[in-house]
Amino acid sequence: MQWISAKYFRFYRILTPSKMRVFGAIFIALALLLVWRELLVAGIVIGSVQLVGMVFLPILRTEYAVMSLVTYPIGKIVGFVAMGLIYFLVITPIGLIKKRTFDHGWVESTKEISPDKMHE
Amino acid sequence: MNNCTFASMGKWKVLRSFFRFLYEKKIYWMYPIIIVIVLIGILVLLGEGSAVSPFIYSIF
Amino acid sequence: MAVVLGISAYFHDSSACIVVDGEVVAAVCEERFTRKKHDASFPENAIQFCLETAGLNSADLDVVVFHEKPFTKFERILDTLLKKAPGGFRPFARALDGWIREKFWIEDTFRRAFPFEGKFQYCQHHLSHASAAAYSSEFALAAYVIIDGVGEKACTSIGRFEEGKLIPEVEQRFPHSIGLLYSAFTQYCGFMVNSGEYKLMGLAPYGKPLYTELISEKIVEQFDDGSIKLDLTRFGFLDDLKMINRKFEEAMGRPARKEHEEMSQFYKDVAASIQKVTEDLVIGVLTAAHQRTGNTKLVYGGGVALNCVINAEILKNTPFEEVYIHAASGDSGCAYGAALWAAGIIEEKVKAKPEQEFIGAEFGRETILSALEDLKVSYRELSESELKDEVSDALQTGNVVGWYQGRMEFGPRALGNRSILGNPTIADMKRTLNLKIKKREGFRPFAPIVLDTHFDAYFEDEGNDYARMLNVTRVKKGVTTIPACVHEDGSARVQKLSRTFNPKIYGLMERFHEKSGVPVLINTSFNERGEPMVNTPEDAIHCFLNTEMDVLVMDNFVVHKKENLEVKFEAKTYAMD
Repeated sequence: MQWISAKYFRFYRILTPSKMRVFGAIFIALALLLVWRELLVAGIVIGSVQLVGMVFLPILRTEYAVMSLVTYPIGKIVGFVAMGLIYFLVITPIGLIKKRTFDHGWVESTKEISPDKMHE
Repeated sequence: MNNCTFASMGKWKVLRSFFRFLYEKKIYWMYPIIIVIVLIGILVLLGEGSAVSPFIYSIF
Repeated sequence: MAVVLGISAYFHDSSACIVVDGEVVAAVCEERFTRKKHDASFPENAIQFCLETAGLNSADLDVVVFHEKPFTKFERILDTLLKKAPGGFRPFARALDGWIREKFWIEDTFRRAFPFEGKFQYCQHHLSHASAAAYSSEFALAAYVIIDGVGEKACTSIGRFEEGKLIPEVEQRFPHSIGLLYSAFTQYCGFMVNSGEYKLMGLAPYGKPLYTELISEKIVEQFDDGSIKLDLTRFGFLDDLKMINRKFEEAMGRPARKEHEEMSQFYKDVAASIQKVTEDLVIGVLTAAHQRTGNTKLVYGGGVALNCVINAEILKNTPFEEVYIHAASGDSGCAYGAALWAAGIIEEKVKAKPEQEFIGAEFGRETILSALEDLKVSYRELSESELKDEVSDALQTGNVVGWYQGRMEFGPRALGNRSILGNPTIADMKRTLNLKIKKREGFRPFAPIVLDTHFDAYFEDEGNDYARMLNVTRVKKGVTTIPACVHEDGSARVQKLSRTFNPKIYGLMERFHEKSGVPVLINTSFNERGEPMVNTPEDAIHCFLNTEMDVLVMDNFVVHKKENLEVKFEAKTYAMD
């Protein structure tokens, strides 16, 4: 329970005000879509809540946090499955054809280490 | 989309230098791995702390 | 003039260090601010502190340097996973997540948090270690040797330090690592990897090295050239989240000790054995380094260099005649080293002083006063002389004193500004400190601090540098007056204190000596179990109230526990280490 509320507050605070408004704008676009599909009442209700939210950010923040909390497990599962796919379909085949032993003993070090590179 | 975390210039710069690193060191086996990791990476990075994340995962 | 900021992060012990004009101005570990031991997060607070101390903005920085080369490290991790595929999905998932979320984007993270237009550079992990030690030493020519768990690829590095430049020679690569071997045994004996290594070292004197042959036969082999080979089938770190596997336990003949299991003689003997084996391996590497470089001076660093028992064997067992080890030779010193390395490229001369240890945060009289007022603690402010009198009296009667002064020391050791002091003549003091203050295992030893003029009367001088608790030595035969700080085997990790190193505690010890006839105190870091060393006055007051400490001294303020039994405070608990 405590874990969920901690996550909730993290999601609540995670976005900057400008990003929060982008989230609101996406929602308004969805509301317009509903209006266009002749779901007038739903569209207007959602749209007007969002418009208030654009001024009074806590509304948007609450929406964002609740939505994130609901989609969080989905994201975790999708991420996990994706990791599994990479590991077993990409890493494993390449790993099986590459050399599979570790060398030991001294190796000459690179003498000149360039400070600007992210490798060496 | 320029507000999303991944699209910031800093991250693309890192990616470019990573490919330069692979090319310089001739680590060809890593190309396919990196390409899939980048795709997954976009998903993971969008999944946290961006305006579109709740929508992305609603689609799945 | 160039301003260089060094940072280390995302492994353990994140830290930051600022070097202005080739001179270290400030350095601190992030854990001291976040109060999370070995905190590995982006060191935002530490960076902020460094900038404030130097009186600069992030925009004034010329270079920011990270302590390692991320791509090389990533390549090593991926390569290892490929070799172990399809068996290592769990470490793969964990590693990839960390890399995608933060490890690749250190520059981006920095520039978002701190406006900065200058260059962002990358040092190499072992070069960071080597720089920290080499630039702080006063050697013009020396060999350097770095031994730790693993950096990018290298686990052991040998090189030369010549006229202010570091020249790498050879390295021994992952996974054949002395540091990881020691960590594997740390886990086998039921302690936490990356923080329990000290406990294993402290446990060793309680056992006998009965298993050295077994270990050399079944687990690690060293060749004549000093290189080593681990029997990889017995280790878990390649394809699992653990250090050891079942075959390791089979080789040792017993299962690994569980964290809260009773400590049996067997594990004490194992601790003694691995201590001996590691010592031989390190001596082997150092001898190889001497042969390769021909130097008689050595700068030595990396996590393994925190093993003060091995350090004390170097001069005796290798051809080296002088050794320098930095107090923060573990990963907490990497930001410091990286900053000096980058400064060394720009500047003619880099001026790190060998006794420059007090480079952390300082809180003035006013801040301390307001912290005392805020918590409604009753206190008294004394003159320097009254303070020495009162504190020595308190120590003499067996009180435990929290000693909080000036700038915090950098690195894991308390060197006299954030210390808990106790009277070593009281035999029960070790137990009192372990159980009532530090709330930790009763076997763990405490280190003595001694006035330099009286060092020889109490301790054997084996020629090592005893200023920063990096070497153990033997307590002289016939010395029976300081039982509380002598370890099971008659050794002590002594700090030899000179007046210039830390005048304030020197003054206190002189007074204690006049009154009690003993020029020695117990000196342990000011914190309780699971907590990093105290940073702010609030941290100190809190630790004082939360433990059974008797007296707290901050600047010239004295607080007695018996006058403050009613003070209300929010009791914090720390995750056990």
